[in-house]
Amino acid sequence: MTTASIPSGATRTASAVWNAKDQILRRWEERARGGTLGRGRGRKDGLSLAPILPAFLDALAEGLADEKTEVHFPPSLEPAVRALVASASLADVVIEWGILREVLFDTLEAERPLLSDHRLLLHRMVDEGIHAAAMELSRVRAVETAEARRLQHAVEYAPLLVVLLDATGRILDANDRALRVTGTPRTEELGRPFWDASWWSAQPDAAARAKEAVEAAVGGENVRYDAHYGSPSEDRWGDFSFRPIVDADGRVCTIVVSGIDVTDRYRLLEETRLRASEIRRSESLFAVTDGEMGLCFVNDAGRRLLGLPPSGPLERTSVTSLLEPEDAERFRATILSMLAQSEQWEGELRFRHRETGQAIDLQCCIFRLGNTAAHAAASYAFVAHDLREERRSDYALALERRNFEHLFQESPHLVATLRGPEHVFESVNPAYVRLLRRDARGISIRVAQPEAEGSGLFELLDRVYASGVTVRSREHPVPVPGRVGYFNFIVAARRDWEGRIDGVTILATDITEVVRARKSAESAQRELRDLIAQFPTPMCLLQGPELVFALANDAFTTLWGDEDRVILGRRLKDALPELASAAELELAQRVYRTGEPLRLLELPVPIRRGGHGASTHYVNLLLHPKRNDRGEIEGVIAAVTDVTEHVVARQAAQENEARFRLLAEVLPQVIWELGTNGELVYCNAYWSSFCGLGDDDALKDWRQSLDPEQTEMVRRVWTDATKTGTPFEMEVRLKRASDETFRWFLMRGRPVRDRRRGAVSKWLVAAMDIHAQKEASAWSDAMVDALPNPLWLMEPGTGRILYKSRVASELEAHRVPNGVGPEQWPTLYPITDEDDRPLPIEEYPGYRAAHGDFSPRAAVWHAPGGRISFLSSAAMIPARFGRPATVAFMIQDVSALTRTERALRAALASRDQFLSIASHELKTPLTSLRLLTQSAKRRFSAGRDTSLAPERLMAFVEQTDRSVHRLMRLVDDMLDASRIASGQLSYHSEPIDLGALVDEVVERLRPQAEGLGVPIRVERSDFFEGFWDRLRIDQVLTNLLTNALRYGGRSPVEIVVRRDGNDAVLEVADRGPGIPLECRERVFERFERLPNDESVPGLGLGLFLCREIVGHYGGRIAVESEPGLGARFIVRLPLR
Amino acid sequence: MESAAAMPTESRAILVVEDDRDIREILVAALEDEGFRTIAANNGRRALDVLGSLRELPGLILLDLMMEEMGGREFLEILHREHRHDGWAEIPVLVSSAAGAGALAALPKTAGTFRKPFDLDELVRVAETYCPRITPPGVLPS
Repeated sequence: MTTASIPSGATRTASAVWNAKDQILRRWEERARGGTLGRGRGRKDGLSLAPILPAFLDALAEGLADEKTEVHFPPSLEPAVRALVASASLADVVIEWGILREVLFDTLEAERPLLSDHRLLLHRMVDEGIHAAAMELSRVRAVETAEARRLQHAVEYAPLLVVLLDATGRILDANDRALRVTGTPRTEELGRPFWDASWWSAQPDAAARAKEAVEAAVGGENVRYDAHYGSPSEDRWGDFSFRPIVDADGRVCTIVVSGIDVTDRYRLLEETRLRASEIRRSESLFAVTDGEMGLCFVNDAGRRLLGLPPSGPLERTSVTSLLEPEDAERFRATILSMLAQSEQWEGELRFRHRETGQAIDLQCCIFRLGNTAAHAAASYAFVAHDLREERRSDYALALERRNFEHLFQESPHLVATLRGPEHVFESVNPAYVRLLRRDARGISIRVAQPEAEGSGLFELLDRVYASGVTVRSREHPVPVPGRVGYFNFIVAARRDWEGRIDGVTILATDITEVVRARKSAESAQRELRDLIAQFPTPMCLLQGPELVFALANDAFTTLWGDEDRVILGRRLKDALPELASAAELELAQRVYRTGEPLRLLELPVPIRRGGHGASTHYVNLLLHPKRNDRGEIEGVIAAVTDVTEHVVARQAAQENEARFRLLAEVLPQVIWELGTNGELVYCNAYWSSFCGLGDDDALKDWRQSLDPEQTEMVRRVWTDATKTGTPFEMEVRLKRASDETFRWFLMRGRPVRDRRRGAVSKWLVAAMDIHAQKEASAWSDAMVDALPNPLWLMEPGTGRILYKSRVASELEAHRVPNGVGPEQWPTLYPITDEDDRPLPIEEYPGYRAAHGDFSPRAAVWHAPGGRISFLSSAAMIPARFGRPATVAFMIQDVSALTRTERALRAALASRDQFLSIASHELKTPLTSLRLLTQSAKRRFSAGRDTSLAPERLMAFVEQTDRSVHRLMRLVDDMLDASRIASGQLSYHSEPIDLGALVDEVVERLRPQAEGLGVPIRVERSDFFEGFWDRLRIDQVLTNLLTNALRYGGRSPVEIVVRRDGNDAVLEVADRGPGIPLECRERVFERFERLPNDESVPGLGLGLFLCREIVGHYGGRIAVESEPGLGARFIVRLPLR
Repeated sequence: MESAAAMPTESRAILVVEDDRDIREILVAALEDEGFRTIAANNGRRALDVLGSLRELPGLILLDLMMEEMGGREFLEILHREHRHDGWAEIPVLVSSAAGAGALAALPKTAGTFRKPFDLDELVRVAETYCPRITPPGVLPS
């Protein structure tokens, strides 16, 4: 009745139908019942399709299992269907079919999705049932109008579009489902020709196709076709069936059009087709095998991979035959059994190319298709892809990325991408970062590289950004931090995924060094050419085996003189024929042949110049092969140095040398030539005989003839001379062989320098016998040293000290070397006048003597040993006996004389002072006496009353006596002072009680003290006795007490006498003004009185006498004083 | 002062300033022997005190140079510095000294100088020109 094509491989679905059959039926029943109840139709009897459904499902599964491409709807169902139509409502039948379809898919797909093929198949199967039911329905409706109401109901609820047409094809009626497709109101659709109905509007052809179908149906045909329908907004597919209904007259009165929406089916179909095409075109392998692994299908890629013929039958090639033997074994042994259990296996298999035998690793996924029963008629699907390809492409991609990363990071080129019109650095490689000295990411290039402003770089970037055209810029100078660099730039636009320019990329190569090197090479080459052209050394280039002059500088053409002689471009032997016969030509040719450079020194060559005929010149000739880029010899470079002058000069020097030797032989002096190490290279006859060399004896080292004491000195002089290369002079003692005695020689040496290099090559030494002078000089030196006074010998005019006597040297403490000039004297010889004022150098006696002023001068030399007052004397010693004129300068130490003179002066001054004081003191009593006598005389001479009252007379006598006494005491004092000075003070010692003596003196002076109002207090221990001169000790006491009264400012005077061990101690103290510190020692000196003290009479001898007397007895006298608090004189006298 | 000078019968005294007691006493005795009136002081300071205590200024001052407490030089300086207007500075002064001529040089204005030991005849002659005698010589004052 109805057929459906079933694709192969549907067995699994078939088994699923079988397995789920009961479940499907149960669900269907539940839902069909619920559905009908839900609509409130209140069915009480059983479901219409229930009796036939099990059989239908069996038939369905059977068809699927048999893999039949075309299945007949089971004939066994037909009676059941008829019975159904007769007994049941057809509307219910249609609804129940619809429910079956839903339940069927729900149940089957609950566990796993159905293959699309199977879905398609199931759709068609069920749809067949629905169509069949619909057709039955329409037929019944036509004959049994009683069923119209239920029909109406069925039509409304069926998953069908149902349209009824009249015999002309106009629309009589349509169910709601049909009208809902386009949403057009029923009134508009009714009455229209079917082909003008709204649901054909989606496809223009559809209306025409509908018209054809209607016409065919009017003609009595059953028509069925799939057509586009739907609204303009939604394009759908429908399976349309046109069925003419014939009335009793056999005429077509009505046409029933039923349509099932098959859009889903179509989509599935399309998807399947698409998949199949994908499989065919896929680069992966797809294959299907039968149960024995014989290949049924292999897609194009699979055929290529495995080396199978590109098209045509596969002749049931076995999969295992395509595997490498090892994997074939594995496949048979394990993989097949695994597949039997798990339906699917994934893993790697190694195939072998059918044609090339090459191993191919494939990642395979194998599905078992078909029945669950193991090894039943199963088939297998292979999906595999070439691992090599994958691995290769993965690796290539990774490698590419790594390479790129490496290139970017390590490239010495500058690589960067810049974003946007501001050229903001997006990525920048390390080389660029180093150049910028900063990581510029996120910064505009104008900010990151401000130095480049004005170099045109930014404009270049702008241009590329604007135009998108890649720009190359070569040797573009761009200032970069610290320098100006040259760069080759490639700047390209970068585009985003939509192709819009969103940035630029920079690839820059720093070619600064290259450019610089090239520039410098160019300039160097230019300079070299210029240099050769202007080089003073004659140079030429001879080219080719014929030695043709290719280049000759000015110096060269000048050497070979004639201005009119053309040599360039000519062969050597033609241009310089005078050389043609000479060996030079042969030499040059040899260099050309062998490539060995040649250097010839002082080669005599004939040179013809200015037509004067050839003269012999000496030249140094350098011949050097000239090679081209490939290293082949293409010529010879000749450099010529004319050394004629040098050769001639050397010949002359050799003659000079011979003359010198001759002269040296006859000179009565030692003549040596010494090598730079002092070795004797040559000596003259004088030296040979002096040191006892025979004619054949080898030269002896001259140093062996030295006085051993001088060896060190000579070594030093020689070392200094050779170090500095300066002449030397020394006096040495050399041993004479004939009598084994040392004789003095004055030896002078001069370096002889190498004329070219300037280095000292040897030394010429001459030594003169000065033994006689030396002896004489030693005698005179000894004489000078014997002088008791220091003596200096100076160079006239300069004052440089040449020699000094032993005494002079000692006075200098041997600190001053010979040779010092006046400029150093102020520090070495501090000279002052007598008052220690430094003398200017011009006033130095030595300086004056050196400049010719030999007059004696007095000065003071502050020598290391002390102050020396001296008187200088000087004289000129004329040049004699090889000695130059010298100034002899001698000083006489007059320090002792000066000291004596000073003492004398002081003594004289002291005496004058004494006389002055003495006369003053003497005048006082004398004045008294004179007044007394004159007064008396006037009284008597004038005849006046001469009588004199006794008290007046007494006063007169006492006054006279006192004055005389005073005179006597003064004279005694003076005598004492004089005796002390001459050490003649006499002492008459006797036992004395000091305390008693103190009392006596105090008593004697008490009237004077009372007259001054000065109290005297005496504190003394009972008794102690010393052995002294009574008068002298009395003098001491009297003086001290008198002083206290006189200078004590009328303060109380205190006297203490006590014993301290073996000493008697006497203290006399006042509380007067005291004695200033600076006067405390002076008060004990002779004629010393306190300053500003002319008002107080006295000789100033008192304390001086006290000190002398106390000193005589081994005692001491001292004074303690605090200014303002008085003075305390302390006398300490030993008792024995 | 002028009134004093206008009274010829009233002779004015001689002020003897001398520290040496013997010389002072002998001088006073000798001058009074000669009929002069004398006042004595043993140094400059005392002399100033004496001058201040007198009703009538002396006609002459005999001044020693070297004295304790206040010497003649200082006395003269005070006289000329502080007593210009009370007539003290106008009193003639004879300076005497045992020192050399140098010590007597460069003194403030004086009537003359004597070097010790001085000649009494000369002294009397000079004193007479300034201080006329009130009693004949040889008559000692009571």
